[in-house]
Amino acid sequence: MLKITTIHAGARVTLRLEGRLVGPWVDEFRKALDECRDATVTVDLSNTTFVDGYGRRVLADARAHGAHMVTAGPLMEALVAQEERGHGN
Amino acid sequence: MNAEAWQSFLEVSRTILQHRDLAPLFRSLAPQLRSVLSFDFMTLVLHNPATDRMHLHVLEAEAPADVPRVDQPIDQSPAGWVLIHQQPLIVDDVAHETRWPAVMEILRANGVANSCFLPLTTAHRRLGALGFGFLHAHHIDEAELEFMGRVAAQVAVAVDNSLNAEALARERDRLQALLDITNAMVSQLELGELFSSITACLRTIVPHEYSSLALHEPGASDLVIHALEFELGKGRIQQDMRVPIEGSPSGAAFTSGRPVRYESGIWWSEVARILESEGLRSGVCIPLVTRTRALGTVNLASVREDAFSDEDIDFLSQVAAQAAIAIENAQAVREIKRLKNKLAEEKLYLEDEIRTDRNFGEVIGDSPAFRKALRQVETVAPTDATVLILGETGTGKELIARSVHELSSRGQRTFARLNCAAIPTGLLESELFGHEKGAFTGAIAQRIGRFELADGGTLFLDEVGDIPLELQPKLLRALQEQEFERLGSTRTIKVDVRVIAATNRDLPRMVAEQKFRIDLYYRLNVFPLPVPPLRERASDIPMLVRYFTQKFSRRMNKHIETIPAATLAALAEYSWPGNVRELENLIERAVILSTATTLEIPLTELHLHPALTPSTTLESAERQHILRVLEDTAWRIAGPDGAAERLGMKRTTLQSKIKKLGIERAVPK
Repeated sequence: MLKITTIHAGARVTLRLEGRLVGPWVDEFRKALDECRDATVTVDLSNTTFVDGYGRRVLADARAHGAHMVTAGPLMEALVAQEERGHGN
Repeated sequence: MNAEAWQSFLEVSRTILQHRDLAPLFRSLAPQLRSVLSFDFMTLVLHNPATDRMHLHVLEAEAPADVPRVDQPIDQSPAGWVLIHQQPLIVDDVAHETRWPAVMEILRANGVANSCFLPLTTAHRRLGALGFGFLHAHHIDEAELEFMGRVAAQVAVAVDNSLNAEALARERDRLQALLDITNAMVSQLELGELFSSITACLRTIVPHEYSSLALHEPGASDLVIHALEFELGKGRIQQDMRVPIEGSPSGAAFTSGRPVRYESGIWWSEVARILESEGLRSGVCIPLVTRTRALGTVNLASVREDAFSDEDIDFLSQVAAQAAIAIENAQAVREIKRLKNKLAEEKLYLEDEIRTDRNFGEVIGDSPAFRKALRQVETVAPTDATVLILGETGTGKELIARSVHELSSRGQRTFARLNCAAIPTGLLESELFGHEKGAFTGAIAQRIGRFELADGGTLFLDEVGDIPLELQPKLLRALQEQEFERLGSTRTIKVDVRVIAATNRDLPRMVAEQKFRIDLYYRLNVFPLPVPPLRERASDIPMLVRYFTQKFSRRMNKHIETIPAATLAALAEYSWPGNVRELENLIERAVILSTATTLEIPLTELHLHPALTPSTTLESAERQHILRVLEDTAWRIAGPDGAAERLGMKRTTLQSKIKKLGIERAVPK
């Protein structure tokens, strides 16, 4: 189960993901990302409890397009750090 | 009659055979009859048995005529006189005729000088009268009267056939509509679509502008509009609107089990005012009744006055009888779907529970403090009261909650649990109360919440102090009223759930800091049930150690036969900040590490309690315990109930330890 909350602040958009970014919810996340491609996007993973392989690829894609990741907790921090290392950041 | 009259009569007979409809028949008849009789108007006036009034059905005139089509009471119409007396009536002088003033006024206004009316009667019934009007004074002789009488007899048969054909056509149309409605009902199981199918067929037979389906929920004092079709509506009547049974036409139909027809202004209630304000002037409410119960009503209304006849109501009642069965089936299907979804959720939930490691159902402990808690469990379990379990982390609050559930009358029903701290805040409302598809981004399917899952059973809310302030009012309502709405839905769901909450937080302090609602606190704190920390039930530690040892050694296929008494003693001295959970984890680790049949507990891994002095070690704790036992046994080491036996070790082992730990008997001074 995942809840996606979109918060607009001018040209900045924050997508808050609460729950598990898995399966069909990754598609919902992609739709939400597509709707704010023109904005400066922040993905708030503070309350994301799990991300599957598909979700990781979408997150990586979002990062590649300039999205900023906000994390809290060891799991998400490790996930984002791993992605950053993978891209030589 | 002369030859010309007979010839005309034959033509009339032929014309009657060629026409089924009355207006074309009269249009064809008039010129044929004029070859024998010089009339200016020919009328067909029929009797309506339901209203006992005479109605001008057909008017055939050479010149335009101004004749209002207004019904007349039978006793105020010359055609009515003819119907009653079954004799021809000749009005020689319309200008001075005083009987039937309203009709005579119309005749005079159109310049009729004299008129003649003949009865239209068949072997089965009296139909009305055939009338002839003359603009110029005309004396009707016997021959003309005889001719008109013969024509009237033929016309009566034609009219009778036509009326029968019309009635048969109407009946055929109604039966076809009934068949169409039945077919629609058989193929539709969703309530909204079912109702639309029914009203689409109804509209062809019983014209109306408003239709609704109002259903009753058991125990309610009102009907709820479940489906509504009203294109001309201004929005005052809406779906999901509640209509009180008392004082409404649909309520009267529902309670009486009979159709109720109403006109504007008769029902002095809020519902009547709303109907009138929407422009509806007449209506009918038909009860939906099956063999077992009354379901509600089907309601039709029209902007016309007196729009629904007895015939319409008979037809609608037949439709309602079929519709009631279909609606009951649709409700049953909806309930089956709901239960199926709930069952699927329960199955997933229970599968998840089975995978979770827990010791539910096995309450371990015999210490006075723990027995006190268990006595409270036995006291409160059967009462259905809300319980608030208070205790430090790892003390077995869930175990206690399950015990309350299993000892209650709900023990055979669902025990659903939710750790409020483990769920992201934004998802907590959905977890508790469920959501409809599309309620928020990410709600890709309908979801049943824990309250619905636990309906009839128990819901355990662990870490209840972590529920955000904004969600607490909804939780309070669910606790008090046993009702709530899923996220994204306006439908109120009623449940029967017993709530057991647990927390290790200081709720009164949170209330003082306005982080927890006081009304919710009082609602939860009906029966506070403190669970003692492990350090206050140290005598239970050996029992728990043996239990966990057996559990893990079985799981790991190991054989642990001995647990050193001194080790047990040392464990009993420890403060256990993590309580039973910490003990369980330590024993699991010990079983993994043990290579022989004696349990080897890594005591050095235990964190010392800050309150203990730096010089206090576990060796010191072991020394103190052995010394205490020696003093209890008056330093008798061997033999029955000696120190060695009490400590669970051999005499030689104890002697070795005494020497190693430097234990000496105090010499009395």
